[in-house]
Amino acid sequence: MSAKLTAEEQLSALMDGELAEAEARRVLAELQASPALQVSWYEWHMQQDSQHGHPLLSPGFMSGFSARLSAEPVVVAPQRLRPARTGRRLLVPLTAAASVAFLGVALWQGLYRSAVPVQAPLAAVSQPAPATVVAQVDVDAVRAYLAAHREAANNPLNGGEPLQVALQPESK
Amino acid sequence: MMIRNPLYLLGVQLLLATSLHAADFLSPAEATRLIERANQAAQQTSYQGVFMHQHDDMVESFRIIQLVEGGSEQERCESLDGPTREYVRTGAQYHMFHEDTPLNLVLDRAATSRFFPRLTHRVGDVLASYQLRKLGRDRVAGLEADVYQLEPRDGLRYPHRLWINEASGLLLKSMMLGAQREPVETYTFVQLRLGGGFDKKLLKPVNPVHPVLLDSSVGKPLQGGLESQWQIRDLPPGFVLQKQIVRTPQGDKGRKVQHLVYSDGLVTVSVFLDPSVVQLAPGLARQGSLHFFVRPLPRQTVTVLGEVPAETVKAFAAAFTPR
Repeated sequence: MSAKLTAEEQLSALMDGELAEAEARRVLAELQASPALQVSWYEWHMQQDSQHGHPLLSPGFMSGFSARLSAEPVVVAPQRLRPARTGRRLLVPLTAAASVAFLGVALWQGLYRSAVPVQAPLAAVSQPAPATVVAQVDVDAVRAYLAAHREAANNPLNGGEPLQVALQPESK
Repeated sequence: MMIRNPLYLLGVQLLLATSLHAADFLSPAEATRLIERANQAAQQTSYQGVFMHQHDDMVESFRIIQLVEGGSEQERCESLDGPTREYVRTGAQYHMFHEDTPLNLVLDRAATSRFFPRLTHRVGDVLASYQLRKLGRDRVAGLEADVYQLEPRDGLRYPHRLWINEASGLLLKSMMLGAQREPVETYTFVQLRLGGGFDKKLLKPVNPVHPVLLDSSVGKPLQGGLESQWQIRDLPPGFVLQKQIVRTPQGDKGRKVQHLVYSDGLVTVSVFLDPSVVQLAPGLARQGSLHFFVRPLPRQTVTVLGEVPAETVKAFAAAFTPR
């Protein structure tokens, strides 16, 4: 675990249940001492809760929380099981009905055939699209990718995800 | 649990590592036999039951009825919560009903795999990336089950756990585990009755189902001139192109995003080749067990995502070089 993590990063790791016992203890002690960190902690949870559609905590939560925190020697960190801390965290609700952002049509889909990736050259019918930048906010863009990925990855027969992206022929 | 001494933790880990080595790994032949039997049983056993599918924060349940009689296979499956979805199968012909999507579906033939974790490769090829070992015994939907784990042979994928009923060969439950061995996706029967002694009316569709085409076209090369635009090399081992989809972002008909779907037989990785600069922060991001990698290139973007470790999405993104 890198020693260079800022207090906020460590708090975020704690929130995700990614800290070892000893480290969690130390961060909790810091949290207890720093009102600024307490506010961050509260805000992140509020943010996540609202992303997940949970009701928001009452505004008076922080004062109660602080009082409890100073009264108790050990606070059990919420255990969010996450993989090792790498990269940024996305906060994109997946199951919320996505604004459909991609329409797609399968050019081909077939059975797995060989253990070698398809490398055969093909007569090029390149159709470079104009390099337009679409102004999309991050969440929507990410969600579009996620929806497309899930639709492709899931088996509609086994009740994969709700098919959020309709398979429709492209309009030519 | 209070663990004060980090050395103790290390000891536990070492112990776990050794016991993992000593664990009963099945020989490739045994593993193949077991999985093929489960696959076959899923298709050729009569049963009725309810199974649950959990993926991240989503849970859905389905009723499934299958009758195999005198060489003919009939099956019906319907969703029990959320939008109504149903399919019926007679032999290899599928009819479907989806309340929530316009049904003009062409099904991936691989999607008809009756093995819960969407087995798309030949078993032998899957076992090139995973090793099967026996974990113990458990009970699922009131039935005895042997528990196995498909252990990845490298750090590029996550393990899958399988609960198999020995008597019938049926897969009762399957679970994909994340980096910290937490359940990511689970299919499990919650109720299951083996045998065909049920009312045949249960096999009749209750919704206006429509026939679905099964795409049988076998692995065509990349289309849309991708071969001439991209050099693809050093893809993570075991992953093979499964399908290619051209996607058009809504409200931007001019933009054609190539969506390449790769699979190692159990898990899927999506690669998006976008001929534009995407408004996403470059680099790695994640959500739960899902990793997301954005690699900006001059006037185009490679975006990779999948429920695989970070190294895997990075390797995929690095494998695509514009010509």
